[in-house]
Amino acid sequence: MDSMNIFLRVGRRELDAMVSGRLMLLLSVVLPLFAMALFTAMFRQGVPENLPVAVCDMDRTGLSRSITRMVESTPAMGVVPVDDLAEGRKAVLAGNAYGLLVLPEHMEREVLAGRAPVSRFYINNQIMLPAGVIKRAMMKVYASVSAGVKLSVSRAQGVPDVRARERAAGIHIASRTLFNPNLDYRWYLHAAICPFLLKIFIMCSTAWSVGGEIKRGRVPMWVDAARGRVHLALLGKLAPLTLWFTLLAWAMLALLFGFMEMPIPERVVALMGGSFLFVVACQAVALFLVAFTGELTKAVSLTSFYAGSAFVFAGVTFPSSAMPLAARIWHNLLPLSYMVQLINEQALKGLAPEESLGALGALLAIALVCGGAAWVKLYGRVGRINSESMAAGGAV
Amino acid sequence: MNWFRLVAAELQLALGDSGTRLLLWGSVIIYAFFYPYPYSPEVQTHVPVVVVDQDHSSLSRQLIRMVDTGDRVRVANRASSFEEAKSLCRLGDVQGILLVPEGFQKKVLKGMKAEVAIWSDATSFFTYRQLATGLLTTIKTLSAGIEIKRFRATGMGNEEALSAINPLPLQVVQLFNASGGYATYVVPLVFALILQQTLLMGVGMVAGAQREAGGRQWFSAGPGFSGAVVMVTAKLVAYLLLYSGHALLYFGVLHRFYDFVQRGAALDMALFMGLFLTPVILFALTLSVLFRHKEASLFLLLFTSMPVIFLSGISWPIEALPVWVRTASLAIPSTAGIDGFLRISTMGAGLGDVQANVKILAGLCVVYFMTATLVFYHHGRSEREGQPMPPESRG
Repeated sequence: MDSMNIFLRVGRRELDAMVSGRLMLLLSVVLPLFAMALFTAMFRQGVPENLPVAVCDMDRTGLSRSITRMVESTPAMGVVPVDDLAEGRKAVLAGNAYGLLVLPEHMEREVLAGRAPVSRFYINNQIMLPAGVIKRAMMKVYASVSAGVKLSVSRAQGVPDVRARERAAGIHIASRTLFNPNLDYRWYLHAAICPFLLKIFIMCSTAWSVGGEIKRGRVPMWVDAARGRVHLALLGKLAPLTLWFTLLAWAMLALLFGFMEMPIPERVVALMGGSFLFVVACQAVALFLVAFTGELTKAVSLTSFYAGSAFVFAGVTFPSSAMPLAARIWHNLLPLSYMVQLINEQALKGLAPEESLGALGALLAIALVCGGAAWVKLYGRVGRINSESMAAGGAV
Repeated sequence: MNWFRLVAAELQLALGDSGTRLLLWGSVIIYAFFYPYPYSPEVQTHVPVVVVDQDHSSLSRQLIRMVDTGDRVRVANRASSFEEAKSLCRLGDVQGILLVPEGFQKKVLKGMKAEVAIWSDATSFFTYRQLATGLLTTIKTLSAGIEIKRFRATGMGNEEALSAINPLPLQVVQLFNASGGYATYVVPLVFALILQQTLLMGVGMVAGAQREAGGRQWFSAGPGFSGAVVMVTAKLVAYLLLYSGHALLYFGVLHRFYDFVQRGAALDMALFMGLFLTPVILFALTLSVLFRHKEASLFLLLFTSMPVIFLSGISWPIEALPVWVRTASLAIPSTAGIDGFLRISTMGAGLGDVQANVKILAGLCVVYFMTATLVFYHHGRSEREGQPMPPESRG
């Protein structure tokens, strides 16, 4: 039988195992699809809307009511009216509101007298993400009310409108957002969570696929399917998973561009090729852990440690450049870091494929170093286990 | 067997094996230092920006100096055109652009509307916040100075001029995490998450190892329903003892070690933690029947930490979740548990403030006690009747 046939034979055996083995089917098909679908449902709002904000109106005038209305009419915020500070505090503590806006007594009168009454906006900054959203939205509301008041004051003084606008403005700031113009959380979080989930499933499937055979004493059957050729046995075992997860990674890209409306780069070759390298790099690390721990439980514990913590160190929520040195080094050893970088560079920043060679090269390097070392070690181990069991079998 | 012996036996079993000991003991200790480490700087300072100065005036130079002296932003580069600046941004060398157009100083001196433009990289929202806040505050400070001069020139006093600039000021007060530190926000959340996840995976690993060995005595202490109840309560108490220690380490000792402010009353925290850990353990005991291999619980539950974090409401607002997801997520103890516990410990809420969470957790205690008992009863029974294990799945 020639190499190609042997390879296909082992590959078919692996595919059979994928479909008939409950654990393998869950790890490679059911759970990855479920997890990505779940996050797609959770992030259906790219920007959170209608976050409840308690408003304590102690002024009860036209001005305070119009501010309340403006808060209500922003897409980001919804008003929860409260009667006093104690009730507002309770609403924030119990989680019924993310912030408390206090409109002071005599606010309108003081504004008209030119005495700048201070409104206070208490935000629950321990819940950071909504806190940031309502802070930005509330500052916008106040900037626009304040500008309106300035204009009407100038008008009352008889200054012409154009002149009044200029006088009122000071230095105008044109503030723009690069690479994610709508501050869409899906582009920022969902687009990083999906490869993170994939990484977990790629590594777990690979660890179980190879480590499970060793643990359950089924190496002889596996190598036998490859007619005793260990290289082909390994290749035939890993390739179906590589192929399947590369397809899943491409489906993930389709999700990013289709559902999440990320800008599609002119040439998708770097992203598609990079996804393949990402899959291979993750497999290589899993293989490395199986090869060098010698025991599946240890390999899986280390896999969970390595893959499970990757999101923290990938620098998505907290940038890697601000991390201490050892954490930055760890960041550079994770395939996820480069996959996130690649998606940012190619889709959000619109770099040319050749400008992402850094990320692609890093993925390739991880694949070659970990994969190469693991291959040599496993080749020896699988061959030894096989010949030992053949010797034992021969003795019987 | 004596009930107290069963408790001791479970602890011995869980901590006697190197794999489960690593999960239920070792990883809890390791993660306590590993996860907070990258966040230890709390905030990002001196985000690099590029400056395009097309005005070359003393005022533009003053503005650039002011930008550079702040904590949030530093001027890392200068470019002669916007295109050049943008390409530096795309390559990731800098993360923001400040452009001062020609005629800036002249317009300011003439009292006309002067403009500057800023661009902030939003690929990381954390950086974006620092960047936009840093640039905007600096420019607004300069602007306010200029405006005050203008208003004073019309004969206003200092205070009058100040209120003329901003007749309706808004003071934002950031509660509970005033400086917006990332570790202060995320570490208590992650600590609570680790307690649940290691319990679910650890109990699952203990059960999976028993299943692999083929024994079923793990499930039942004696005949009938009472045997199952005895076994479930013994295991509940065993893991409750172990994890009370872990919780004390996380929220009693390490919280101080990391200098997080503890606002909650100790008694409220202890009671609520007990109310959180109990349904987690009972849930873990219910799920344990699913794992036929020692490693299966790790494989199958590893990914769940991500959705669990986002369902807790601390990182992604629950208002943004579809109703069915919100409802279904209540079945996971951490949904009510993490939110309630963090409200007590980091925000100083009382048990009364989080009574909705208390009710949900109490309900889960009852439900998962019943499911755990049923599962244990069923599995214990099939052993005594001498039924063989269902054949192990192949593959």
